[in-house]
Amino acid sequence: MIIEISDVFLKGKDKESKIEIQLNEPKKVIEILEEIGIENLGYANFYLNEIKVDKNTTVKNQDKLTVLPIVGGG
Amino acid sequence: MTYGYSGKILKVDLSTGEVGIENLSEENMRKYMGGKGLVYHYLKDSVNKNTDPYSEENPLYFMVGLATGIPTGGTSRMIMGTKSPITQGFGISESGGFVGPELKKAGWDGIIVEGKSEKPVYLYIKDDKVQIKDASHLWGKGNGEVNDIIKEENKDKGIKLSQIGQGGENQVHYACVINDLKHACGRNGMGAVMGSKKLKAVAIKGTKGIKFKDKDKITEISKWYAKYQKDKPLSKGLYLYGTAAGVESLDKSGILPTRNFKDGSFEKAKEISGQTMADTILAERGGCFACPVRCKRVVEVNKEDIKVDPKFGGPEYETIGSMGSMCGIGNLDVIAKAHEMCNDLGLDTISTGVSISFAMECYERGIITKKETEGLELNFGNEEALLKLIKDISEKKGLGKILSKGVKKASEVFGGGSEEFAMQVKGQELPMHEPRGKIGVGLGYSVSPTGADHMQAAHDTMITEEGPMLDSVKILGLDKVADPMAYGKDKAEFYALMEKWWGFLNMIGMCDFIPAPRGSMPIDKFIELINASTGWDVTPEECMEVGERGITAARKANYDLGVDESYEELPKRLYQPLENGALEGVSMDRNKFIEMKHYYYEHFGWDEKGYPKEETLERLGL
Repeated sequence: MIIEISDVFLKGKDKESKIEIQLNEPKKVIEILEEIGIENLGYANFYLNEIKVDKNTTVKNQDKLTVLPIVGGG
Repeated sequence: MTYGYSGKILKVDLSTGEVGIENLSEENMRKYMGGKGLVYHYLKDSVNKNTDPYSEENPLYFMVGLATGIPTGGTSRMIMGTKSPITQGFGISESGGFVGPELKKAGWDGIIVEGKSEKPVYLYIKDDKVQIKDASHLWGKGNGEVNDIIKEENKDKGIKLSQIGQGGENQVHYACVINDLKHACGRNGMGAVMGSKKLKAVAIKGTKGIKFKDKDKITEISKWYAKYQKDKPLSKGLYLYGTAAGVESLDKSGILPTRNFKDGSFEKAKEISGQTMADTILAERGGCFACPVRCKRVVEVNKEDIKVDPKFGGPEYETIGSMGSMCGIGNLDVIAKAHEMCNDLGLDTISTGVSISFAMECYERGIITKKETEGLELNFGNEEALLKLIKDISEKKGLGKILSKGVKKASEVFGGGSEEFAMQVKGQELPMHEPRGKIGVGLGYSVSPTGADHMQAAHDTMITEEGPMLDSVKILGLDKVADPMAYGKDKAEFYALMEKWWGFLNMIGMCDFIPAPRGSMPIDKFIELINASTGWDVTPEECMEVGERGITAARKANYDLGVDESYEELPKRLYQPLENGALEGVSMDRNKFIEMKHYYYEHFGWDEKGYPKEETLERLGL
């Protein structure tokens, strides 16, 4: 599956903003992101195949997950 | 001896040329803590229902707050006030930048400008020295040129400047005041009132500094925060991509105002995002006084057909929305040019963009034709038309003259049912936030004393689940998340609590992007800072009470000026379905909305018509 992550959540240079991983079984958004070491997810919005979802949504290998900063206003 | 403020307000009468000092007691400073509260304190006895905003009876205020000038970040705010020519009520507009701290360093907590000059003038303030100088040679010139001339003729490049352009001179209703070319007191027509007084600029040089009770503590917190905020997502997002960091999120969520709020998604959202800006026209990440976050954008375009000067900074999200998706324009170069023109001419980018977007819809529907547009093809997406109309609005020329009064007045001229999609409340155009996906923001647009305004309270999309965002505001008494699409009592209370907090920040002169929940500074740390500055013992409860006082004071002022509940109607379009995007088909429910509004009144101790009850006024000392 493809994961696109805003630079806002990437700390060092050891991660890329677009990551491709093999998902052998369906997992929750939060589990996948924690496994690859993404932090501060309480400040993120998640989109699965361009549709807004929450962190507990189940993801399959053919999905595309996008992680963007929270929409706050101002 | 006072700490954190001087207790002195400068008073200038432009009719007589008299300059004086108004003393500000500690009791009143503690009661209002600056900004909007001080404006209320002075404005309530100065104007009435019949006062013409453009008359010499209407004062204009430049206020700061207790936080302004503390060298920590976010402490840059200057708050203007007047009887607004847009709403005919209590007018307020705020700006970051450097003018506020400079005024405070000059030894002043504010300026009250009264009367009206016969000829163009500007005010020169160097600490205690105050002069009213001739500005005849500056009248008719843009802000960029005037900024250079004033600095040159006073032989000081470090002067900080609040200015009006041709928009203010010509009293375009939504003319704004531009500070140091990059920051705007954008809303409520402050520039138009300044223009009516023939006051071209206020030039300030402060060398006195500000006395703090515990300077070491302030230095300690400032150093800590500069380091702490670096990796925090809320600050990092603002640093990397500015206020436009959320464009793609908004678009994917179906709440990016597009084509005059007909749509919630824009096919060129990515092209106008903060991310694209960073990859293309961004020249520098700018900032306000002492702020480590640096959310301001400085852009430069140097192409054969379009050039944008970086001295005017760069477009904020509001400008990207109002000139971009709202007008169907997906070209950042053009949006940057529109921003530059508005800053030079002194026009509020939100109202300007929404007015042009409104005209585009009227044209596409055949309500206005080439006769009214003088041959202009005014379809959504016409870049040349956007730039031409900005200039015409500033000069009040042709169609620009009608649009210079805003969409409410324009819809009265155009007719054809256009009032249904004239996107305004109390005569002020809606900012770039879609109430059909943020019901709390809709409540804010309705009840805001200054007309449609997105900066009255943190938005309901911020705290939607348990976690760090909710934890950050528990200290304020908020313990429930908000479903952005919900109405009802819980939502009214969520909004009211967030409004008290941001209301307090807006009074004290603090940027909403630094303390939680929108910013990364913990609230207790921010309050520690205020106490280190003043030597007071302010608590979160007192902050919320001061915020509440400001909200109720503004409401009382508005009702006393005749701007009551009947001015709280949202545009009819919001009760109609969005035509595309993730929220396609979604509309607001008016009955539920009105019911929620009355829960909100109840929360504040106001009566069923929204007027503060006597016991409420008494409790808040109003």
